[in-house]
Parts: sequence; C-alpha cells; structure tokens
Amino acid sequence: MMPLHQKIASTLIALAMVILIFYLVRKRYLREEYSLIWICWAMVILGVVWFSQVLGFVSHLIGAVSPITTLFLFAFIFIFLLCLHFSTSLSRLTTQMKNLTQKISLMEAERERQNGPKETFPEENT
Amino acid sequence: MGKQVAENSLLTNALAIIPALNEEKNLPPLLDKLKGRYPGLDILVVDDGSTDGTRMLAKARQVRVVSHPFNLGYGAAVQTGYKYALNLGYRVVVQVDADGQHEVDDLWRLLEPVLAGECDLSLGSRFLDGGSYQPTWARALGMQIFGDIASRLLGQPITDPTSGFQAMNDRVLRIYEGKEYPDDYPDADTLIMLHYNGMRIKEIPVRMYSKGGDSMHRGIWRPLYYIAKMFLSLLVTYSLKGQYHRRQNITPGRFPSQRQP
Repeated sequence: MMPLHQKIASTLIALAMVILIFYLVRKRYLREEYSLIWICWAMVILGVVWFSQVLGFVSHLIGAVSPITTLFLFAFIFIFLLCLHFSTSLSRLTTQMKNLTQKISLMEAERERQNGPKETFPEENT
Repeated sequence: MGKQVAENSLLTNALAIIPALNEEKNLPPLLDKLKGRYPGLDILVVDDGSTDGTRMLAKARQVRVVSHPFNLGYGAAVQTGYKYALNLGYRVVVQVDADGQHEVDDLWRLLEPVLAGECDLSLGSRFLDGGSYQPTWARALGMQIFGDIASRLLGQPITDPTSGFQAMNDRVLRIYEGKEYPDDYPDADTLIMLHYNGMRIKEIPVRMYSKGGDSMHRGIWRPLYYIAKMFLSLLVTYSLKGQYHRRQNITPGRFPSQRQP
C-alpha cells in the first residue's frame, strides 16, 4: 500500500496535469481531440493511486513480480501508442499539405495562364 | 525534315514535364534544345521551390511554369505536372530531367510507342544502349536488386527502374495522380503498381549522361535508407496487388479521356 502523503502528492500531480490540459485547450494551443487522451491518462493515474489493489491484481494477472513493473509496462505501452498516433497524424498532414501545395501552385499557374504573367521579363524587352 | 513535321503534328496533345530544382545553369540550354527540336510540343517546368533564377529563366523562355512555394521532392514535383496535364486534358506526357542528363533526341523514341498505343508507359533505359552513365555503388546495387524484382513480377525485363525519362498516356496519369505515387523517387515499386493496374510498360533504349548529381544515393546512410525504404515499399505494393486488380475490374472505361486541351 502507498503511504497517504504519496497518494496526495500523486493526486496533486494528476490534477495539475488536468488543469494544464484544460488551460491549453481553452487557449486553443491544443485541440479537443488530442486533449482527451491526456485527460484519460490523468484519470488512470488517479485510479491507480487510490485503488492500488487494482495494480496488484493486474500484476498478478500478467505475472509481474512488482506492481511498479506493471506501472512502467503500461506507461510504456501508452507512450508507444501515443507516438504511433502522432506518426499517423504527421503522415496524414504531410500528404494533405503536399496536395494543398500542389493545388495552390496549379491554381496560380492557371491564373497566370489566363491573365498573362504579372511580371515582365527584362530579357524579353531588350 | 519531313519526319520532324510529321512528329510535330502528333505532338499537339503532348506535354513535356521538366521537374527542376535550382537548375538555372542546365535548364535554359535544355529548353532551347527542346523548343528547337520539337516546336509543336508544349513544355511545362515544375519549379520545386528553387531559390535561384530557375523560375524566371523558364518564364523568360515562354514555357509554362508551375512553381511550388517550397521544396516538396522530385516525385511530388512530377506529380504536380501530371495533375496539370490532366486538368488541361493532355493525352500524353513525357518527362525529362532538368539537369540535362537525358538526350533530347531520344524523346521521340519514348513518345512514339505511347502515341501509337503500343504501351501505356515507355521507360527510357540507359542500359539497353550506349551512353556515359556511371551509377554510384548504391544506385548500381539498387538497380540490380530492384530491377530484378520488378522484372520477375512484371514478367518482362526491366533494366532501369529508376529512370526519370519516361512517356505515358492519360491512363497512367490517372494512376500517378493518386496517393500511392511517392513524394521522393519513383522506382521499381511504382512500375509494379502500374503493372498491377493493368498498364503495359515498354523499355526503350536511350542515352543518358552522368551529371554528378544523384545525392539520393551518396554517402552511407542515404543508400541504406533507400534500400530499406524500397524493400518496404515493394512489400506494400505486393500486398495491395489484389486491391489494384479489383479496382481495375470495377472501373472499366474510366480512363479514355475525351477532353481536349
């Protein structure tokens, strides 16, 4: 079992995390769809702190010797999945940005084709 | 001379795409050569975010120019060209590298079988004929391995899968404009994808000259990255084989374009 002051410290950290995330969303530094996963994570921390027998039970299930191992294992899995999620987001954004850039370039070329070029060329005038 | 007139009358639906990144030295002579040799051919320079005078020099030579605001990569640049060609209804596209490594005289050799409907894509190969091309070790290895794989999967010899000197019809353009087309360098994977989509590919001997560029295949890490990426890409393409075949079957007659430029 965790000593009480450890529980309180962990709770405060989790709550600070929730407040920080809420602040970031409010300021539009963070989009809602990306914030939920962090708030869920804070909830999981709170759950583990106040119901640490769950941790013991899961440790027993997966055959971990110490609850700390379980904690680190799941933290690692969580971070891994999160990074994977960011990689897919980044890939999607890269494709979208490429298509958008191509479209803008093509539109600009089309406009110039119809209206004639904006610039005059000194080489052509001489 | 009469041959050239006949060539030019066939080039009205054709567009030459030249992807260019900081090629102010090599591009003007190439454009002059192209315009002199094929007066009927429309030319599009895709400036892939050049920081030198590439864009202005191209415009000064009265060719069409599309300019990326920043560098997107070779594959993305030619793809912009394909989208341009499709938007304006061109039936045939030939792409030429801006660094002057491709022999302009051979352009017609590539266009001819596509215009005649003998194939959907003609691929200029530097190894079927002479030329001074000397690949770096990684490129030579890559060509050997991936050319071999492509040859097996296509059931026909592919000697130069990395060649950027190719001509294609609008059926190929429709596939190339999709999200499967790579941003960096199209290679054997792209050819295999075309094959799975039912496109007919033909290799044509062309002359190429070493230009000392080829940064993609120099050093230690880039070649390793290239080889790893290609294996992954080939595996992905192979795993999508069934999907390409199905797509080909459910959309017959989607490609013949009736649009005029």
